[in-house]
Amino acid sequence: MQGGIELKSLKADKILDVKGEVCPYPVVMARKALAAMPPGAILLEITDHTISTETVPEAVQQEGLAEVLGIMEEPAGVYHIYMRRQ
Amino acid sequence: MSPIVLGGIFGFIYGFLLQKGDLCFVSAFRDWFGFGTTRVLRGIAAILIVAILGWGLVLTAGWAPLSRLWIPSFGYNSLLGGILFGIGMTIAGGCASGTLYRCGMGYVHFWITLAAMGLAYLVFGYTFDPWVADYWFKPLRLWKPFTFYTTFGIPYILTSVIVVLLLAGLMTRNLGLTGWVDVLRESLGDLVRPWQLLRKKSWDTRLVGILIGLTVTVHFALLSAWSITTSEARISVLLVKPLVGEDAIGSNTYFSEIFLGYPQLQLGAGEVLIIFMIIGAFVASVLGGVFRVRPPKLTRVPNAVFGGFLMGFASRLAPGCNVANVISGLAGLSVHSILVSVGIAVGALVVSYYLYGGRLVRPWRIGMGA
Repeated sequence: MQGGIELKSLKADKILDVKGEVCPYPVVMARKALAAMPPGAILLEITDHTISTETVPEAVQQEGLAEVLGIMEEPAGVYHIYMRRQ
Repeated sequence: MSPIVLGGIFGFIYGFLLQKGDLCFVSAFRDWFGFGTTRVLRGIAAILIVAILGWGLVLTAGWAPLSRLWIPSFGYNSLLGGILFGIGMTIAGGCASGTLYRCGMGYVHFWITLAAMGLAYLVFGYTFDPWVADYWFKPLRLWKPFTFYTTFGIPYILTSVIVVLLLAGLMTRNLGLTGWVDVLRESLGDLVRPWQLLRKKSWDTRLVGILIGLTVTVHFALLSAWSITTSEARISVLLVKPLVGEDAIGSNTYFSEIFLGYPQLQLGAGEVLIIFMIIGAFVASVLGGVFRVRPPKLTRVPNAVFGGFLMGFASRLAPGCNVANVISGLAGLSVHSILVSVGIAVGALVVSYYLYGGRLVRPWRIGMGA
């Protein structure tokens, strides 16, 4: 997890709460949301699926859909993934 | 040391390591097909490389008999059962081992998956004789058990080395020697800080792979080949024993078959291993601060129920799950398990294609790099 304070100050254009979802839905839903957003817009995905902290960044970066700005854990076991649409 | 205690120890280690690496076979196949990443696949490859060499050594040294290998008869059932298993696990979102370690992490979704698998074992038991036996195994399971260890008449360890070289060659097609050195240095570097490592949220999948490969080898030398779903089927039978009675279980062809060699209808080393896999994953997730009771998304409960049921039933049809086949079976160089493993990959590919809206990358390009 990185840049907790800076990430918190970011204003997300869209918040996607996918707590309770397991693979591959956090990836599928992040892809779909990003595809509908304009370049530069920020997507915040909130997940409690640990492996999504690896798979979501891998998927969106691999496809050039978004830049991952960072991941913040709050509270324990809940992850906030910040992505900027490219 | 008694087999029960050994089962508990090995189960704890497997659960602990699988959680630390978040090493789920569904993720390995689906993410490779879906967006070309091999983070988890690298861990599985590391398990295989260490286990194949380890088992070859164990067999050559005579620390375990050849009969300890899991080499079932094989046929079209192997491939078809593997495909159905791959479809089931990808729908459920977790393989047999992935379901267990996530139960330990507090995922209610995977407790439902596990319950559905348990139900599937019971349904299989009641449909085995005569239907499944007559209409599935009789026409499809055509050939006798076969392992490459005994094919060439050379020492077992030499066969292992040849297979590993072929496997490593395939995996390093996109990676030079430097890549391999980096892989080992990165993975093993973490081991010098054990306390920090225990509290670390997640471990490099290659490190986890190497450690599981070593555990699988010691497990094979001291006790048995690692498997999951047959033991889970025994636990399911024991859970319904108070309801149906011991006689009903004894008169069932399949249930009495899976308890063959058991002095009584009770937990054995394999079943204790399953329970301790969940406990090991629980301890690992608490130490790493990632344990959390995770309520399921109601819209995904059908995935857990249907995927879990299909995965459980298919594990009996193949037979064997991802662990028995992709790990123990491949380390045993069993033709049955090669076919099941191919089937599991095909099943995962089919469902991934649907889940990712028809967009898949080139799954034939295997990379071991970061």
